[in-house]
Amino acid sequence: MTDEHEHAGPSFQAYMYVFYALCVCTALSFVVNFALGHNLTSAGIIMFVAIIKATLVAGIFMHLKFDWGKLYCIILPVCIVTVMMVIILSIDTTLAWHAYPDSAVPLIK
Amino acid sequence: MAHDAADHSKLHMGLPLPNGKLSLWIFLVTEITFFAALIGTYMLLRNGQPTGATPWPSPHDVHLAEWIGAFNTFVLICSSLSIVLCHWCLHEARKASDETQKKSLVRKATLYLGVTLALGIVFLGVKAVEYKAKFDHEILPGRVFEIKNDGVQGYDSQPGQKFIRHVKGQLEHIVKDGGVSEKAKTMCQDLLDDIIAGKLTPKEVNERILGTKAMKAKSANYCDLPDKSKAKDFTPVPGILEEDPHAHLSYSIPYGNLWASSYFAMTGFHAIHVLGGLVVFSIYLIGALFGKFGPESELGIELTGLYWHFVDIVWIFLFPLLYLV
Amino acid sequence: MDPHASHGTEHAHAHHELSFIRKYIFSEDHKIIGIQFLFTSIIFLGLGGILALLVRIQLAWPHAEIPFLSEQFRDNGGRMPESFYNMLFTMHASVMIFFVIIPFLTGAFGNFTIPLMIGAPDMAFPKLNMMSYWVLWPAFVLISLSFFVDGGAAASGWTAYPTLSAVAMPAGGGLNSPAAPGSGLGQILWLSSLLCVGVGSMMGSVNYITTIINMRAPGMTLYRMPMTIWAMFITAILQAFALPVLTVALILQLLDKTIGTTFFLPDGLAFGNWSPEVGGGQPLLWQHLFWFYSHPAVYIMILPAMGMVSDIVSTFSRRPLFGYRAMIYSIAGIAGLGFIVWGHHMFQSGMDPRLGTGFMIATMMIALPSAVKVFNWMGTIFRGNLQFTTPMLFALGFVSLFIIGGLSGIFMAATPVDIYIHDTYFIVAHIHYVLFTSSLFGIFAAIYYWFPKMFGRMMNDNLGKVHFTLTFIFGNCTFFPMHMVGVMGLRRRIPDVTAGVLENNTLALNQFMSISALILGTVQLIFLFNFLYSLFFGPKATRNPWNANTLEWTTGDPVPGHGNFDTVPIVHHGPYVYGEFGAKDSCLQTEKGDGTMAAPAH
Repeated sequence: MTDEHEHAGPSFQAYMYVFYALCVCTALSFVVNFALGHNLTSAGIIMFVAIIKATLVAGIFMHLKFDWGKLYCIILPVCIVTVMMVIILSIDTTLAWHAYPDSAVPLIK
Repeated sequence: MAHDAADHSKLHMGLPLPNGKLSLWIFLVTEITFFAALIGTYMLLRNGQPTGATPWPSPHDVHLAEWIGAFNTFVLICSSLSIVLCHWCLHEARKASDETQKKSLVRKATLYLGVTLALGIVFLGVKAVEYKAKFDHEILPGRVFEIKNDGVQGYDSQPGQKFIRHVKGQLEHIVKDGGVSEKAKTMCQDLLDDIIAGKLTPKEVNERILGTKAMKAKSANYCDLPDKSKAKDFTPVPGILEEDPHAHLSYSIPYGNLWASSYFAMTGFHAIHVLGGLVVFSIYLIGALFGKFGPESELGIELTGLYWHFVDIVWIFLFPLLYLV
Repeated sequence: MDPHASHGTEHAHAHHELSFIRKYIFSEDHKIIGIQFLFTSIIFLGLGGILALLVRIQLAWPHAEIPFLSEQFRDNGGRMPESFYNMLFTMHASVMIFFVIIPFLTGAFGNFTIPLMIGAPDMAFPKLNMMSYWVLWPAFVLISLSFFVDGGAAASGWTAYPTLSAVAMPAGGGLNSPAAPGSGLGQILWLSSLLCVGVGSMMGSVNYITTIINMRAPGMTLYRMPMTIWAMFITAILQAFALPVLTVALILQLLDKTIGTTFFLPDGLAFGNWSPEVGGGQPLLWQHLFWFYSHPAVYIMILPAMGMVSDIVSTFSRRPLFGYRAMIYSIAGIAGLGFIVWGHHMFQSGMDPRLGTGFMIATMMIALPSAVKVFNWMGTIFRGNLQFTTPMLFALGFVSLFIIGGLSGIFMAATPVDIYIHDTYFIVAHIHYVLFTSSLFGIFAAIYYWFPKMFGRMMNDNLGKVHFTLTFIFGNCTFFPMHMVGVMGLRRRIPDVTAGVLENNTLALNQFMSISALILGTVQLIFLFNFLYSLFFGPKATRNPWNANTLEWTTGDPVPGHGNFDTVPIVHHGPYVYGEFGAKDSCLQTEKGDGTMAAPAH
């Protein structure tokens, strides 16, 4: 069958701009880690930057910006279910209902 | 009527996507689930048993250099760019009417593809260097010394004894061959004598290696300091590694095994996926050698590019989770 | 000219005679691949059945010597040791789930029916299809090998919960895990085998989804597809998106067992005198990851059967399927909800009770679309011109016994009730009502129904009716009392029912069930004989022996050739058009409505 592959795809310049943005984001995460150390704030900023990077790669490099209408039915529900799975798994361990909250290891005897 | 031959194009069922692209996206979504399960596992384990007293190892504890990870991220981003430019060149080549322009675009595309392959190999090479650092320091699943449970009621004392024996061997090696500063060598000799005399618990040996101050420091918080640290007249014990960081001595890393398990599982699977991508690039490049690479390869390169961008996205999440956060 | 038709005839003209190996063994034709899945699944059905009978023999006569195998256990007085019993129920479940029901439904019938019923010449990726079958063979070898290795086959339940299953062999301890016999090399082989099965299933699902979305014949809109295809489509989506999580879980446990990682092994673990040196893992993590796949897996094991039964019931009631769109939305609802209820297998695991509440509510909700489906089947049958052929009998058996299986499920969905019946035979009853008397009945119905299209011959209907009657009677005799003994307190997975005070009272019922099970097993030989005999000597079938409406009955003489359709079929309406059409009461999807019957709205 003929594959009508016409799409007004991103231009060469657009790809380069995205590349620069990705480099800036990577440098930003590295600097935030260096400056703020290991705490919740830096973790939040770094993960937010990671999501931005992933969106840029997926949207522009992977053409999802143009193909979203054809593919969202498959991608979106699974992403939702996946995120939900990770959240539920987290509840069961990180927010775990500890009987002895302060002991590092359970005692055998 | 409405169903004669001329209308069949309107009756084309399905999405306006080639079969290959649709199936590759479905495959990528399954890979999303795969890596999400791995990442979810990592997040759980990290926040599960480790506590304030025995926290998850910091990158410094396990010889992980953040800048190497950042460099690898940069390499992968460059390779994503080069593969997308390869696809762009082939797309333009298909649209081009001029033969010379077509040829030059195909040549550029081959060049970009080669760059992508090279960058991918660089990524794996850097990974190999990182893995070697772990192998050298024995930070492997099942091989990291963990004595956080030593002395806790009901726990086996074997691991602690094994740790002491291993350290003894290392100290003998240092005392014999040197390679460390004079003061450190003296400290090693003292520690060796104390171990042979059988005076020390595994945790005390660990403290003598690391030093109490280093154990309390921000980037090397360790566990279960002996209770005497709470006494008023307590003086911190100097550590051999504080004196000379290059001494080849093992020390206990709480949850180091779990860290190594997660690290190797996550980066290992990512590396396998990278390798798969490199194999496909090589196939196309070999085809280019035989003149079989041209505008007709556009769909194949697009699909390969989609896979490669996905691998890049996974690394975009793995890098902060493993190195930075 | 129509590009599709030209492609089809081009393909036919280009077709050259393939060698025997390319045509029947390493075939890329979906029909042959489907039949390959069918044959291997039947063989494994036999194996799984024998394992089940050995389990039942032990349960009914716990102190007697086992027939045939007593010499192996001479040092135990000819009786089955507990470790062997553990192996039996583990392997029975693993074989039945991963090597019988799922390959039957998705491998055999998915492959065979999908291109035919949507009017495509083959699957989207025939080579991938072929690989998805052949990747099962390493799995067969690994799982069969596991019976013969030192320590025996996997024995920690098909659910393989750590820490029993995940403990690594101690250095220098050879291949015997300290945890239990059968949790060493046998477990490693089990894990590897399931990884192969998973890879094959994922390849297959990607293929099915792409084929169904993109390769339908002109006029075959999504809402004109038969229920079989809708079910296969949604099942493939479930397979594709739930399997990777099981793959991760299997790999992590494999790593735990081989290279000393501790993903599932916590601190403070001890097995007798031995304890692993390091820990930090979470045993509950395995349960979450495992059930995240295995719950959708149970829907994978029922939805295709539901779809096929919908078509069979409609065909033999000579009535349109009642509530076609509601059926579609119900299947989608069951599948969607199926992704968020996995915790109902873990109510007793010690997970956060607040999570339990969420899972309980979602599980209860699944009853709604299931009930809708049951009512719609009944609506289809009501006032139909019923033809009690063997496929119809099995389909009706499915509908009626699925109600029982579904009802017991609602009991289990309620956490307060589940606390008492978890890990009792009540659960086993539910499992077998939905798997044996529902899925397997659906499979039998489908085999009898599509046998003429697969092999060009008819199976013997009288033998089929005998098979159905005896299977129905003895199936119920075997599995219904399980509800009763479960509530009486009989726990799962224990080899000696006389050992406990409560359980001792169940011995008589257990003997009744075991005798019924032995007869049930013997009755299946009737089916086997019918199947094999009809393969070679059955009466030749016509193109459309059941006068059904769907596309596969428009092609072949009677077996479709390579490329399936001589010309591309044009679809004019949905598959459930029944009524007055002159001499006939049904209207093939490729036929326009007769003048006496207005063309249906869809």
